[in-house]
Amino acid sequence: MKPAGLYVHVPFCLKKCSYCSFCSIEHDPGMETGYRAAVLSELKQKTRGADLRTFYAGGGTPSLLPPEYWRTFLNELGSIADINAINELTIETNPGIVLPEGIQGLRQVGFNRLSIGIQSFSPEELKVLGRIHSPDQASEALIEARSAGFDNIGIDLIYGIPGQDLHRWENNLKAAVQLMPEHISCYELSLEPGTPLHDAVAGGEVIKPKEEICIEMYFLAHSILTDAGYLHYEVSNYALGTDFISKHNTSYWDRTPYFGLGPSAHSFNGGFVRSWNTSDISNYITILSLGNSPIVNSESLSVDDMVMEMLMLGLRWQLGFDMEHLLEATGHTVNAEHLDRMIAAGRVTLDGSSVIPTALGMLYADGDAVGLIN
Amino acid sequence: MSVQIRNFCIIAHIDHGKSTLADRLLQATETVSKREFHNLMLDTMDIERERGITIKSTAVTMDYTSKDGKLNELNLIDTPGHVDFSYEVSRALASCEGALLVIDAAQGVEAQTLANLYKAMEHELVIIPVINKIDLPSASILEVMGEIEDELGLEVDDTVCVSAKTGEGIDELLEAIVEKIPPPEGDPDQPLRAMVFDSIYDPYRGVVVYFRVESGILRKGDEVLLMSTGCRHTVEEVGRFRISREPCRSLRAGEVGYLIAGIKSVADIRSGDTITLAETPAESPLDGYEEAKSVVFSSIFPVSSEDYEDLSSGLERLKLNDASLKFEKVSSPGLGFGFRCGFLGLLHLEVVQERLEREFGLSLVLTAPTVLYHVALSNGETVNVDNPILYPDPASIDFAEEPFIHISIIMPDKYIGPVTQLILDRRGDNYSNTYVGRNRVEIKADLPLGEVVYDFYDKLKSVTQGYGSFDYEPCGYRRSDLVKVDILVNHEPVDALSMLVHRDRARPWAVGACKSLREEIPRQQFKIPIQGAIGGQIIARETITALRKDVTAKCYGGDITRKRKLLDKQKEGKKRMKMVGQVAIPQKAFLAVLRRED
Ligand SMILES: Nc1nc2c(ncn2[C@@H]2O[C@H](COP(=O)(O)OP(=O)(O)O)[C@@H](O)[C@H]2O)c(=O)[nH]1
Ligand code: SF4
Ligand SMILES: [Mg+2]
Repeated sequence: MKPAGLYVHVPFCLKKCSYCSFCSIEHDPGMETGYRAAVLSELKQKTRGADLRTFYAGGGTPSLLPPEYWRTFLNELGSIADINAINELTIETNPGIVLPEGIQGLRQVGFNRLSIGIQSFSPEELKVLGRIHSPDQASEALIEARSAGFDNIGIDLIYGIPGQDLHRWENNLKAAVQLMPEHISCYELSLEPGTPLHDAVAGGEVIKPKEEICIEMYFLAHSILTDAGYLHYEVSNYALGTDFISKHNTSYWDRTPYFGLGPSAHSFNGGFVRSWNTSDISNYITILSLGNSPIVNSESLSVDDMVMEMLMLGLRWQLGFDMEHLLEATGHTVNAEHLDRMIAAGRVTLDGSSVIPTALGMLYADGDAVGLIN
Repeated sequence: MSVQIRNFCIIAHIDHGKSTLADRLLQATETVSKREFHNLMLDTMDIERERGITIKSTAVTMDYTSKDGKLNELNLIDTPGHVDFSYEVSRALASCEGALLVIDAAQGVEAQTLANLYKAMEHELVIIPVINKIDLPSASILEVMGEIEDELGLEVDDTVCVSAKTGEGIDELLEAIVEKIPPPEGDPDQPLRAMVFDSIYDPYRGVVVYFRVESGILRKGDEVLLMSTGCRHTVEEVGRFRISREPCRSLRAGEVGYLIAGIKSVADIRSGDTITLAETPAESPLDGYEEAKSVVFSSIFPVSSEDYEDLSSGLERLKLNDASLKFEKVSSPGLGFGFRCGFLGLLHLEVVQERLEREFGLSLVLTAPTVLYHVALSNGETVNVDNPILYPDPASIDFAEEPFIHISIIMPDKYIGPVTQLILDRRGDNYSNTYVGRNRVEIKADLPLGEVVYDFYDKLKSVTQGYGSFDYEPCGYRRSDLVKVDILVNHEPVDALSMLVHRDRARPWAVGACKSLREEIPRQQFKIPIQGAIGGQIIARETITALRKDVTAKCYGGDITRKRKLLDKQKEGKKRMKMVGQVAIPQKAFLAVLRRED
């Protein structure tokens, strides 16, 4: 049994944000009851005897479920797997959702890492994003987490928000740095078709900053956060030293196996098989109540698929990929001409047989992955 | 009992029901059994069925006992329907005495109804108007009859109304064919003269030659002489067209059939040629023979240089069945090895390209279609240039000449304005127009062929909404202020995009080409200038801004699959790109430049 990660997807939020295309619905008590039971039975189906090292409760808003539920969940997990081997237990929360007691409760039931969806410290930006919280609630959430005993806290920020300029982004970054969370994610806003914000931008009601500006925002984050002592370890992720790199997310990038529970969750067996669950919440509940598997599809990776994954995932984070390892695992080499161009352009450096992207290079991870394929 | 022969073709505007009617005739005469029948029997190539165009002529012999009890041999000859193949069409029409002019009962007379009627008239065919689709609720038979009389000047009394769908009227039509179309003339006792109207390649038997006997008798075992080439062959098999070939001992004056004589490639036999007996040859060949000549030239390159051998064998294979396709090896600094090809016209070019891509799985880049120019050098020499890359240094040129054609367009008079404009835009000369019917006008003009091969026919169809019929004949070479326009991508000339054009047209062409390239070449990690130039002079310019990022922000919740699939698509796209210097140019960028709407 290879060491693995466990993810559970909680598809409920108080209110849907304007840019959200994730699998989540506005809170529905009936659905939630069914969901709770369903996830517990999926847990038993999938993870019995697994060698788990990380656990991540994401969503959606997993902290909408009370600490008691998570206690039950973790107890259940403890009865089928060695819970003591799990050294990172993360739960996501959003400001303005959970009372201080709730946060304490989460710490007490065993979570040791909190990821807070702050997104922005600007009232205008929070409004455009359709978030329910205020800037003050954002800062408070972090302070409360600290006093609840969380010593590994991550926050999410979004840039490229309509109406945002470099100056406002800089203010967001500075506000974040002041709070000194152990981990900061900076995602560029992506406008997904079908979301209200996508339509508003398409209809010209609001204007998204130009690509050039977004790139400057990326580099601004890089310089402010690295100056403040953060390590830029993945295209969108910064940690206050290697200890605080998200271990769970790392498993997505280094091809560690992971089990995904909940609607729309993906799993990977660490070798050749990826599979994923139905993203229809009520189907998910029904399927599990009948004792069946919610997996709706799976794929077997070909050697070419593995090559693509190793390159595209490697090029987006600090460890890059190793050409010897690639050759051993897949029999493939990379396109030398393209690699030379990447080196000349300062997008990667070589460390022995490892190809390591620079901050600039991470921005080209997708195109370069394709370019490197022979 | 003697058999009466009737040779005829079916002509129609597209979609008026030519292929369906042919199917019905085959069934009514029991030429094809229920078991063998499938729709569109005569359209044998995929491409013909899909695009609704006929490329090759075919023929089929049907036995029919008419009401008077006589036995008839009805030879239906199916012809292509596009100006590119007008020579082939003329040979097929020359093999008939009559034509069924099919008109859709709901649509009435349309452009190709007229154009095809004129062609049939040139060959002095007896025309039977056939109103088809009378089963449709929207059929207006009386109105269409009026058009037949007024616009086509044909006898309404000769008209037969049918539904090729239900079979209604088909028996009357068969009777009319026997009654109205005259039997072929021609004396079986005269020396053999048979006209080739097409030929196809059969992988097992070699070339199958389609012909009509004008005089004399052709027998199995005869040694025949092809009068244009002087080649001799011994006839291994002679026969009639049924649904498959049906061998017989001989074919006599008036009959239509095929022969097989160990001919290796259709290139060895030309439509319009006369077959005679080697021992007792006819004194002279039949009229109307012309050498195949390429009208449009373009180079074809495989997108991936590894596919060169496949392209080569693909062209060889197509050539077996397509005598008018010409090609020879070329190499280009930007595009590697490929073939310089000559075509009958742009449709021919497209058909060849499509077949290479589809039947041989190739992905191709084609250079801008060009015509054949005459270039007089200062030293007194004249060179023929059909490839922009070979255009001599302007300093050494005295003058250049380009081919002109005399065109005739017939259409409803309400389109005079836009059609005249189109002709002037294309440097038309000697323009005139005359009324040929109540609301119908014929425009004549001389146009540079180079302006016509490009997309003139498509443009004409669109400005006349399909009601403009178009015909042309060459009318010699004229002096022209010709320039070579080069396209530079990232300062490197892309030879495949070089173009010879009249100086007045150079700038618009270059501007359009640069714009198409800017739209089609994906942004790369550096800025790419795109320029159009005549010699060292830049006449058009565009810039592709540098791609400054190419990564998706978040690998959400471990959904690696979706992301990988997106990149797999890009990887596929990469296979269809040509590297020119540092820049990857997608195949579709080449196509966009060459097929641009301006
Ligand atoms: N209703 C009706 N449809 C017909 C008839 N004849 C042909 N069609 C339809 O008209 C379309 C064009 O027919 P087709 O034979 O391919 O026309 P072609 O382009 O002249 O060869 C097809 O969809 C036929 O099914 C007819 O007599 N009645
Ligand atoms: S909190 Fe996250 S999951 Fe919930 S609606 Fe907003 S963006 Fe979507
Ligand atoms: Mg047809």
